[in-house]
Amino acid sequence: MARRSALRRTYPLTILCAALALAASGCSGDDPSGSEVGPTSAGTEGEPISIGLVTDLSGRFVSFGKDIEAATNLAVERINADGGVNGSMLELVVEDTGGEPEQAVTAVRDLAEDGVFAISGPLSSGEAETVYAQAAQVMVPIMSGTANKDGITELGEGWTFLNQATNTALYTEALPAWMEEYGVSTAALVYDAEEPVSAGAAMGAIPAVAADVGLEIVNADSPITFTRGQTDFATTVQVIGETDADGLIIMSAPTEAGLIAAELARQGETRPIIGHPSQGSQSFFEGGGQEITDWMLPLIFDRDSTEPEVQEFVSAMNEVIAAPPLVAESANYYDSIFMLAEVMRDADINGSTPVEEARETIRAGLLDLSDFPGVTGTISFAGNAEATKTIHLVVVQNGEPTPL
Amino acid sequence: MTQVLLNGVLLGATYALLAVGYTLVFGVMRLLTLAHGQIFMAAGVVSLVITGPGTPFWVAGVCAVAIGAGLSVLTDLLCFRPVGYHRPIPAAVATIGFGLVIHNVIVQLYGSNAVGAPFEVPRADFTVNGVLVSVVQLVSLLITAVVMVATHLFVNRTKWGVAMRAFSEDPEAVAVLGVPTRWLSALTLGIAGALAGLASFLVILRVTSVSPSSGLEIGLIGLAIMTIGGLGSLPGAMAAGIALGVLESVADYRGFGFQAAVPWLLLVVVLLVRPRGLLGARTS
Amino acid sequence: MSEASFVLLVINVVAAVGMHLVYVTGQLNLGQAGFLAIGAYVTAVTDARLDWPLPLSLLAGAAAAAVVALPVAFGAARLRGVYLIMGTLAVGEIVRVTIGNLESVGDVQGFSGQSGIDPISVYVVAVLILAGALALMTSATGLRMRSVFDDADAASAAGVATRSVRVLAVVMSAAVVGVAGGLVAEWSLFISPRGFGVEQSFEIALYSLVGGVHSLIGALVGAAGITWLLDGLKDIGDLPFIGESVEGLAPWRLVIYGAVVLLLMVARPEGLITRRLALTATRPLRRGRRRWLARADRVQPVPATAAHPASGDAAVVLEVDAVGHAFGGVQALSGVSMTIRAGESIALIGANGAGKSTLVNVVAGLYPAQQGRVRLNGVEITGLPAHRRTRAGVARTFQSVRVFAHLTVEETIRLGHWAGRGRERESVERLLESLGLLGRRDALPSELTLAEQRRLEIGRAIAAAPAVVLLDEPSAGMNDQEREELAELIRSVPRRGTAVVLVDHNLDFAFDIGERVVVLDFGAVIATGSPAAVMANPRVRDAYLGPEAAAHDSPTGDSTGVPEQRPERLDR
Repeated sequence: MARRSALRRTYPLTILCAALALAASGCSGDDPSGSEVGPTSAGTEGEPISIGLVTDLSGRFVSFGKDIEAATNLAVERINADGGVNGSMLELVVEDTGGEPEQAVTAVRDLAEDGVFAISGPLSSGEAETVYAQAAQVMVPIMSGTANKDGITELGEGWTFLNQATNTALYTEALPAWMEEYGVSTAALVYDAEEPVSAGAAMGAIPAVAADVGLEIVNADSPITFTRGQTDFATTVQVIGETDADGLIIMSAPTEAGLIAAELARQGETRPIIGHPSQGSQSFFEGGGQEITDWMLPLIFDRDSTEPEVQEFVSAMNEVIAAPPLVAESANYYDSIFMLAEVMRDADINGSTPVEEARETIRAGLLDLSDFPGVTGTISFAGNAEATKTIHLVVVQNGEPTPL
Repeated sequence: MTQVLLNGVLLGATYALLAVGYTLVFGVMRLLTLAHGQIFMAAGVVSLVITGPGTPFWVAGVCAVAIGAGLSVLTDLLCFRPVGYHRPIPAAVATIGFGLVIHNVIVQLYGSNAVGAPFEVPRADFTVNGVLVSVVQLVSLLITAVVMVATHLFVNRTKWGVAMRAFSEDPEAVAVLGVPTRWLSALTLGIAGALAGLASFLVILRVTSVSPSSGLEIGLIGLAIMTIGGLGSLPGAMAAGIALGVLESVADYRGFGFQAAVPWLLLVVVLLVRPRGLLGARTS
Repeated sequence: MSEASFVLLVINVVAAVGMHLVYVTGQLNLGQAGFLAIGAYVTAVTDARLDWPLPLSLLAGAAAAAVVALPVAFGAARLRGVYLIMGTLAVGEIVRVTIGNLESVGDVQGFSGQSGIDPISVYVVAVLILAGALALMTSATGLRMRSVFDDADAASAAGVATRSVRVLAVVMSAAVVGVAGGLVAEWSLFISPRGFGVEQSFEIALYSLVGGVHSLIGALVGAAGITWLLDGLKDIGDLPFIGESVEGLAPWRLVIYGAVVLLLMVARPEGLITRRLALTATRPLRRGRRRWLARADRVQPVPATAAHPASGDAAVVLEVDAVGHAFGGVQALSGVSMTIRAGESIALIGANGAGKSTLVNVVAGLYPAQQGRVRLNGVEITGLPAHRRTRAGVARTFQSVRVFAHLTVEETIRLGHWAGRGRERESVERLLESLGLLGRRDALPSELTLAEQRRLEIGRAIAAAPAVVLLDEPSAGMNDQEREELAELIRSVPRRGTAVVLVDHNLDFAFDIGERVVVLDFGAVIATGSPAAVMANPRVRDAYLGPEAAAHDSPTGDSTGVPEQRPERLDR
């Protein structure tokens, strides 16, 4: 009995140590990108310029986060290969938030203490909303390529930027195009009541823009809602079927969108659909497959563009990560680094510039930036914290995204 | 409305199948296997990842059942046995840890995106009196019913089943009778896990994909159903599952804003009236 | 660990304190995220919209959580085990979804506009909460709370109003967790229902479960440890020497966390800080406190009632009047009556199943008397619940020794002592001494022998200086020596002014102590009187030894043909 209990107490410890050792030897090296990308050339002039990246490398958005990290690293490597910024190499410091807003706060504050000149990220609007209010306190410019909930950029009091189209901007262009393409004048609104991004768009931007462009939302008083995590949409789609409208507006996360597409096909629903840009990602296509038809997505990145920079970016991404960059937003993060580099070049910032001065200069420079040529098209801040982006409309037919 | 009710019953059958796993383990061993939801998810994800396109769909089903059973037996080996069958709370916490491990290993290995089924599921749906019936769902319902009855018979009529029930009352007595108790716990958990894998496969047949983040949600619903039906009661789990499925379906139809809270509202209402669940027995 | 991480750690510690307050009563509340959310939202709204000063906002959050917790607490008091766990989880989720449906606070998209809080203020709040919790848990109330965890029936027998304690614990816990929520709201400057889900409830529960269930230190260690582990694993690449090679572990930190939880439960099921460990760590503190308490203790000389109150004209303290009780169709007791006078010792005997323990349970209040009445010192106590009867002066012990697994010897006695507040009682120190347990005062029951546990239980019962104590099979499982020591102890009880009703199978033991004997058979009294007279009674012999034995008897007590003969006791 004594022997057994002694054994019982030591085995957990030995297993723990063994597991850690195993994991340590096996895990490092799998990651395509390390946690830091150092200067690529041996004789560096002066100190490197530190840029922070706050994103999700674990948790429910890990797949998006990995794409974003890969794209950001590609940009840093390109810039360093071309000689850096004013002679100084760029150094990327990555912080993982696991998708939790409080971790994002910690990440931003830690990076600020570490002396980064600017921060790219965070990924989700929830994290951003938490973090933006802190940005003004730590006085570091923060630019997200994905957190596009309307109005949150204001929380940063001038220190926070959005390198992504707001929902309002996206749908102001997308809705009329959709209406014209399919002859839609009335639409039924369907959304995920539990998911902040979808609910935000559905309750905020969509009704506002629809009113502006003359689209009537037939069920504005009682929209069709479902809840995140639902896998059975039989009844939801049945209610959709019973709603009289020309088209459907479906705001949800990619996974649920895929499931809904499958169910719509099963119940013989053929009306045109317009969705949310975040749906243009792997989970959507995995879930819906070939059943997805006449599903329009407003994006900010044209993957099939013939521009050489775009093709270079796409093929470089394909080499680094297994799946092609269906997530258009990683391209935003690629552009973000180049935008920061340009602003720093123009202001003669290098590794020895005092941190506070650099941050303030970058902030002012970003605000002024206009007509920047990125892989996502022409980008301008021009006095606004929210960038003007090129909107690219895509319709998914039989599971294949095709440009409109 | 008939369609709504039918949808609800079919949904409820899946829920019930999951709840039966919990009920079996609790009924026999008086323990909670809180990794059950993640096992459900892992069985689905891994079965889809390892079967390439071109394999017949039932292969994925066999994989899911096997993986579910395997992971569940691991729960016994790594959690229950070392902690001790007589320590319900630490054992349950250990399964929480195990569930975390399973979930995050899957997410780190396969990403957080949903995984689509590489095979084609024949869509032979038909309409009866304006009500759309999915053949896949009907078959699921049938399988679920058969499995329920089989489990019930096994637990109540066979020698092993009786031993399992006796085990929960008095583990030592069963040992004295010459029944190898080591195998009993592994068997119970294996069956529970196999049922989870089967449930996962049936869901995949219906929705053709599975998401790595679905484990927690579905695991909680399974627990809720077991509690509503009464801990340790198989008929209770089935009844509660169907009831919840129908309620959720009706709530969806009526545009009830609190959809996410339906299982929990039901649980609170039931417990207020019957603190031991619908068909829950004696002392817990 | 950076300052921002440390602030989060401190907030988690506050939540852990809240968790401890409720789980220490045995109620595993898995809905704490709901109270966290209420605290967070009320604090945020009163701050951002009503411009209340921060301390007031935090208090409002705590108060709101407490108010919501009250009905939940009453509901939870009716639930046990898994039902309680799932019921509280349900409440947490319902709260979260409800908030998510309130457009006025931003529904699922979240709420912001709080004025914020600096780290020092967070620390100050945390220290205040900790101090308060410490004061509570070391007080008599804390002791009562802890007794409920181990054994609710024994707690009732010790005079603890278990239902009130349970409700109080849930409400207090909710208030503290509400403060933690308020701190989260002010630190993060943005809150949304997403952050108050089941995962948060699980994490808060894990602080206690992993850190140590039975001590406040355990909850602190759990919260600090878990937060530190997750934070540290994120930065594992920064470690000296091995940092480079273990860098890749960082995204796997949740896997490691899960594995650590699992392994910890195997190695330390009670949590990292076991009760024994916590006691050892706080020994110097207890010594100091003991000195302080000794001054406050009432030192009461043992009542020198040399005049043996066994005579018939002593006051009647307990009157059992035609009591009846049935289980299902079985009538366990019918028409049982007896009177007990001050300082008497009664032996209650009977064959197995005669109803002795049932009678004890009915008199003590664990079972209701379906017929008849029970009166204490002339006052009717028939309707009173068990804990009130103990407070009134009816104490009891249980058939299988029931002491509190996580209370020390001294704490147990103190608990019993407290049940007699208002009466003159012997001091805890003196009582420990006369029980022979003074040297074991810091021991846990698992560290005592069976005989010592039994003495402890009896000590717990008599510490309240009750009018009567009911002892149910106290000598079971003891050897001769232990039984003799026990008998000596029990004989000393009436000298303290407490009447004794002793139930025991061992007739030697029972007659040694009891000056009067009551015999039960099939739930009815069949004989009372002196031991000799009772054993000579043919009905009694019939009940014990079988009809043939009775038939062999002659009314004069001739021993012909009877296998055993009770010698006449001459000293009573």
